[in-house]
Amino acid sequence: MRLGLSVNHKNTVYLIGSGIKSISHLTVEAQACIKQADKVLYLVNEPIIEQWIVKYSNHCSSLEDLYFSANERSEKYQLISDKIVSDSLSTKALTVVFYGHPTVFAEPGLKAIKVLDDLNVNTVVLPAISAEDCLFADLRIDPGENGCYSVEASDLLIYDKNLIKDSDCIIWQVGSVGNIQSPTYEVNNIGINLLIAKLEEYYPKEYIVYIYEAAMYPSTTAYIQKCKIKELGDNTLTPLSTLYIPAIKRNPPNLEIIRKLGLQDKF
Amino acid sequence: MDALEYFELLANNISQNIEKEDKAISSLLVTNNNHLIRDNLKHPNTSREYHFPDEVRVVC
Repeated sequence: MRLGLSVNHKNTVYLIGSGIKSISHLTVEAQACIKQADKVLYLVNEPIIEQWIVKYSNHCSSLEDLYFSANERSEKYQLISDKIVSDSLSTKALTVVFYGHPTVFAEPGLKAIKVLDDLNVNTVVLPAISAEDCLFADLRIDPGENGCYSVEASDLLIYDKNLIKDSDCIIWQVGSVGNIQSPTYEVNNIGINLLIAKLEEYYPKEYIVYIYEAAMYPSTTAYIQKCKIKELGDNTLTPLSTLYIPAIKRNPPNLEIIRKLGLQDKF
Repeated sequence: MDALEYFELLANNISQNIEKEDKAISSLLVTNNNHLIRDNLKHPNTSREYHFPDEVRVVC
């Protein structure tokens, strides 16, 4: 075992993310995990980062075949999770790389980690740059200003979740709404219309929202498209699209709470 | 310089402007071996601006 992060002799699994922008978003600790592990399993978003992993790892294997071997996403995730668990039992130091952040919209890694925690295998999960982190930077947003509610598009509809108008809202996978299979560039129009109807329960039809895609390569820029809610379906949505909805209003301060906190002279 | 080396160079350059290599990467990105990179650079919305050299933008 080459990786020096482990403190005992049990097998260790390092779950890491490669970020969104190829190579640029690999943290120093993520690079170490790729370079020093006995084996690397990876599911990444573009070929350059794959080439980087192949070049710098001791031994690596793609999870893509497993991903495409099943139709429904839940099946794919189970196959990948099982593969991670299986390989971890025979590998002293196993690194698993997902693009983006390894626990943000990356179910199979976390699923495997929960199983491994019960199997006496050491697990290490490292943070990485997610699409949401890129969105905050590119749209110049501080989520601390209004608060920020984050939800997956299909979940928003299926579980009839509430939106929070006095917080910024981020709706993930808006281009894949209603799709439980492999991501596709074909947008589900019924799903988009249901989403528009849902948004119009909370916001005016004319309210401006942002369709966002983070840059995937160094030297390229993010895709940012402003549109009205009612026109969402007229815009190009892809599996990478995220929808950002600015807070529509800020509640007035609660004077009773302010009094209890002794902050009367601050507001 | 291959495509990986080129992008490593870009990722490590704060100005991300390595003009002397533009031609090299243009030819790399249009080959079949790099079709996935080329597809990633091609976006259905033509308003998307990639700051790549003209040769690449034409192909994409």
